[in-house]
Amino acid sequence: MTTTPAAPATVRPDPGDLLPYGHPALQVDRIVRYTANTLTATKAVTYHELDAHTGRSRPGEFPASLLLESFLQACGLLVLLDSGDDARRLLIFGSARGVRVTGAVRAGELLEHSVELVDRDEETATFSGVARAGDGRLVMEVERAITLLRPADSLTRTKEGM
Amino acid sequence: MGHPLSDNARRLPLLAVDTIRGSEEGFVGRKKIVADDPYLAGHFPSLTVYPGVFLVESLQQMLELHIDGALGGIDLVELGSVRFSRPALAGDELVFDTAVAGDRTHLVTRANCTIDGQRCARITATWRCRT
Repeated sequence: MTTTPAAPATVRPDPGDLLPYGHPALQVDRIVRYTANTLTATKAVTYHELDAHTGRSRPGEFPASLLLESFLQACGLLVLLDSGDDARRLLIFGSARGVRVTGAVRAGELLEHSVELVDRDEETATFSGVARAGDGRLVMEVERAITLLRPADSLTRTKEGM
Repeated sequence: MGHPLSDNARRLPLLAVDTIRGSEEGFVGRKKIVADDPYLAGHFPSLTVYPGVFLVESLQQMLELHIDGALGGIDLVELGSVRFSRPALAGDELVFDTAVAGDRTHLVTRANCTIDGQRCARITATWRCRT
């Protein structure tokens, strides 16, 4: 497989400019590589955030739920870059199967997601991929994850319709 | 915080469960979505949405209370399948009707999550107790 060399951070868009999330919900720090249908992104795990915002009860370990959230945000970045969509459509976690957690990411480590777009239509995008800790350990495999693509005001309309 | 922590726990700002009670097959857990919960800030602009992955976190914490009576002693091994039907918004109360099978080395949960009686999500997962 041919891979694209890692690009300087300044070359790739800032995840915070693409995803409609702010602190502390944004769980991706940098897009490292991007090609059509594939993306590699990283997130630095720190004690600061574990203590202040997202602390799990494990000593210094990134929660598995946020590990998956971070992976899904990497998927969101990929579909946004692939589509060139600047309308900030909402990406909603729709379903997944075969998500296997094989290790933990600890404070001080760099989490790296490698995601692949498997299928895409107007309303859904299907991904697979893996997440690794900084030393290369596999910490999560995702067989399939499906995100729903919705207009930016869809959740507001959902609330008003209740 | 109203729930005890296990011995290897440190702290838990991400509190994702309000109450649980035992049921014939496992437990029924509840979590009300509160707009000013600090970990929900910034998820979507101008609207509090409980992230789908937090339903998994809620299920884990409910299972920990069900098995150990304390938070922090169980790891997620696999999400066999998870499917979301509707978003959970501020003011909603999530109800997890959960069947539990297996032992401490291999726990399987099948959760039917509802809001006001309407299905919100289905989650099938495998877990492992730390001790």
